[in-house]
Amino acid sequence: MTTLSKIFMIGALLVLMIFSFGFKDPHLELFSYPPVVEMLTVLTAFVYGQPFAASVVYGAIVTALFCGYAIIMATYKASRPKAFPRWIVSLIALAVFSFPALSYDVFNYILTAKMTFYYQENPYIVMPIEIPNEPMLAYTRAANKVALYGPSWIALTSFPYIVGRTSVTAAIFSFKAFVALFYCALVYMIYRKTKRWDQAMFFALNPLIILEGLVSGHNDPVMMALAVAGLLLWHRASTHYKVAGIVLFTASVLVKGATIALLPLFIFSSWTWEKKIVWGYWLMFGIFLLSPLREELYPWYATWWLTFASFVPIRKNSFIHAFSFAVCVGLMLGYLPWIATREYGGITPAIRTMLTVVPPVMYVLYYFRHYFINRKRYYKKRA
Amino acid sequence: MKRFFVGVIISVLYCFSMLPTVRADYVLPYPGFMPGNKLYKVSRFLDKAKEPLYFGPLSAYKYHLGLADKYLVEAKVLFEYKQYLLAVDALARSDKEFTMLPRYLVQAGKQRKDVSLFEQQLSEAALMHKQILEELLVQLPDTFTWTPEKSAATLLPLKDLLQSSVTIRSNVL
Repeated sequence: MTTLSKIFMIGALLVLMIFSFGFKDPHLELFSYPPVVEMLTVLTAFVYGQPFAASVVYGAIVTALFCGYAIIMATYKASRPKAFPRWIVSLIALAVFSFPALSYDVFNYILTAKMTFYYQENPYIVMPIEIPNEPMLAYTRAANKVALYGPSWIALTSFPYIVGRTSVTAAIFSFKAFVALFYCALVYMIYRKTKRWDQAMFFALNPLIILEGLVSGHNDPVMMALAVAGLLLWHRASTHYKVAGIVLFTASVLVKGATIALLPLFIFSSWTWEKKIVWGYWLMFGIFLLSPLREELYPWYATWWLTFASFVPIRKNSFIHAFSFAVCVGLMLGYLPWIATREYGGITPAIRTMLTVVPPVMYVLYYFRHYFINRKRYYKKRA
Repeated sequence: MKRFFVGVIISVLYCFSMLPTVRADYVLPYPGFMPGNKLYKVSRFLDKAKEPLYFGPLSAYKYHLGLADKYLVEAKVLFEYKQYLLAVDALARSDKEFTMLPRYLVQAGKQRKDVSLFEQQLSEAALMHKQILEELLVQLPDTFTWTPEKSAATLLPLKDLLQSSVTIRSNVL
């Protein structure tokens, strides 16, 4: 079973690594080596020219990833590995070296960093579009906005920006590798606190985390790593650790702002760790549900509550974990209509909403049906 | 025949109305707190305090243009309310901010930033400023002697001051 799951996951990510380059913007030149350029032309012609077939490939990749993930999580206890499964490292590498197919946010991060560190302009005042001779404008979305993220994120991006300043290709991979560092930090913190690899793998192998954090390079793992590190340090007895915890939590809030919802976990110091993580899960889930008020329900926002779900002890029929799984399936399927139609309007939003909502709703119905049947049986037995 | 001539005249007038005319689409800001308000000094302090946040030549350009606009509107309102001494001070501040603008654009250009959009904006701003100043030139007396209750009188050469402000704006057009 474990071998099968490995084949599912590594195979799917290998296909994704190649397939993802087909989503490259036609104005973006990643490589100059002619055979690679030729291969990318074929891939982009497939993705843009055969959108329905591309959506089938994407659907197959997501299905394989979720199947592999489900098998690993279901069979984990049977195989009982004591050490960290090293094949996950190759999985991370495949994801990092994929093209950010599903989102253009990484280009936005790079351009904001360029505005700050190369042009030396305040990114909260000058928009990238106001410098018309900037070459990245040809393929960067949301260039008509000032910086969308907080100052601690902009300060942190100085590291990947310096590493990848030679070319756009280097910048894309340095930004993704930078996010991957925080992803690894989160996996480590989950294991360190829970002392269970299945808990860490619940986060590390989740297809949504892999696709949105490692492939698309969203900064949510950075925000969550800072918040969780802050919370763990806040739990220590020493004042120095507590101060460091507050500093890290503040830095997290200044990445995107969503983690401000975790403030009660710092205020109510009498709460146990177990109570805090369950509250953390539902608080971040609440913010996730409220996010459409600002823009829309983006799949990568699921990182916020998945982080806390990974700290909640995994038990048989655990609602939080199974529900999180169903929501993740729905969110990742939500990309299908966009890939198939290459349109944000028309019927795309309606199908997207349906695909996103159906899996969690089906799970909730199944859960309650199961719950009421069990309760009936219990009362029958007692009678 | 009469109808024909009327038709020709209307058509010619319509064609002329369609020709592009020099007009500024530039929108000036609300001036905020005015002198006499308790928060006026706070507002002035905040204007100064914000300056370090506008690092980079394009950011600095935006900062100084914002202040040039704000102080010009402040001067206009004060002139309209015949508070000439305060108005002259606000106008001097607006002039000072406006004269700094081309320097920042030159600096940005030297950093290989395409400043064409900002140059266009500066021309529009100059045009709008000029329009307001020229209106004031018509409305206001050439000179005015400001006589406070407890101190010496001050002669304000309003026409010369406004003319000088117009020249500052004209230089960037």
